[in-house]
Amino acid sequence: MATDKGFFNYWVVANSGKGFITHIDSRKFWIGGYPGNVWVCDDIPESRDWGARNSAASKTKSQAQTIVTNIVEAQQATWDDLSDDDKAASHGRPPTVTLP
Amino acid sequence: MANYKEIHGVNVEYRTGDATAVIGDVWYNSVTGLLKAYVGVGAWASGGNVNTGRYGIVGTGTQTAAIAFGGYTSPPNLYRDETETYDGSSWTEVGDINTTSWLRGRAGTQTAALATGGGTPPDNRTADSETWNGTSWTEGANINTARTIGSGGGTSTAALVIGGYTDTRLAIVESYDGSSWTEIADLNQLRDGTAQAGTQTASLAISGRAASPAVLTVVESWNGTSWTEIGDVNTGREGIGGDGVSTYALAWGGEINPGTRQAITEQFDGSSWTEVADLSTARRYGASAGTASLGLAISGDAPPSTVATEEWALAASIETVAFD
Repeated sequence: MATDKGFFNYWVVANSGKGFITHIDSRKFWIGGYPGNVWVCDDIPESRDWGARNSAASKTKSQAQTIVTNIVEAQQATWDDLSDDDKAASHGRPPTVTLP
Repeated sequence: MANYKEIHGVNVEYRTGDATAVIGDVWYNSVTGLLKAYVGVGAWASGGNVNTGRYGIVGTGTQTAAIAFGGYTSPPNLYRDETETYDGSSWTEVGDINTTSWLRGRAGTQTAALATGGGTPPDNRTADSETWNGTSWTEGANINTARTIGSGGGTSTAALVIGGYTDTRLAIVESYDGSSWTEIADLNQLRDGTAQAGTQTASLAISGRAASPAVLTVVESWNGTSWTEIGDVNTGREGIGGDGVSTYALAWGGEINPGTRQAITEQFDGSSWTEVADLSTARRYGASAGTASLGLAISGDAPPSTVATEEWALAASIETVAFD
């Protein structure tokens, strides 16, 4: 297991829809979704079971952050190339995302 | 102070075991000597993914029979006309709306819905209204004031459109009688990006933005005649989602300052708002459907536009009543 995870697990897996996160999962541990199919969970046995159940790839925090940052920077570059009208209509530049 | 019997007409029941889960049940366990209760604890779970993730999408219906339409994707930067329906497990693309648009008002059900106003390319606002009959969209009576982000609610023949944005934020409210829109009493507060819960005659305008960058915590209640400020949400947000009735509502997601998408969920019990379980995917300008006890958070801007649907449900949880 990675050594820089702190109190969280970092996973990469596509949201498969119904059953991906159940109400029982949500009651047992905190889970947050981020760009690039990155998921961050409280580091407890139940969240590790969730990762295994969904065949999620375990990442270190820095690996997960790199995935998120690459996605966001690509979106920001796309937004920067928009016309002024499209920028005004778009409700803002995609924000930088820092994982917990 | 009234005691339990004076309020409920019966004494607290003595039981030798813990009861079958029914939310609201209260009993005294004579074996353990503990006062117990079943309380409703809400949580989000994954629902089926939408086919086209987008933001500025709007929706209506129930948790097992919902409809969502319109929106905007970025990238690619496109206004959307897709309509999708939900059966409680998966989304299916059905007939497109006629006016490609985002940030519309909404009302009705999966088989009788209303879309009002919204934003159209390149950066215009429309007064257009459309009705959905379960199969296709038909042009309806236009609202009086073209706007984006005007929240709405009610049925397809008895609806409201509340606030929104033209070149400035609006307090204007319009009411629909099935054939035409009439301007009624203004909100107390200019606002857009507001969530709505309730009906044409009993509704809430929840949070939103008053003027950039100030988000509102103010909630207003409509009684069919006038708007009254009631209990504030704990965290003001723009692009907040919500549903329910005027005395029991759910509000989720949104954005505080530009770039700070939120997963926060709050529940209204008729007098105050309480923060409850977070969404798993923070988002703004997603679509809402359902009720405060069985709700849906559909797509929205994470970013990028997420395909994720989340389903809110209450489950009975056995609690021991503690005394100080």
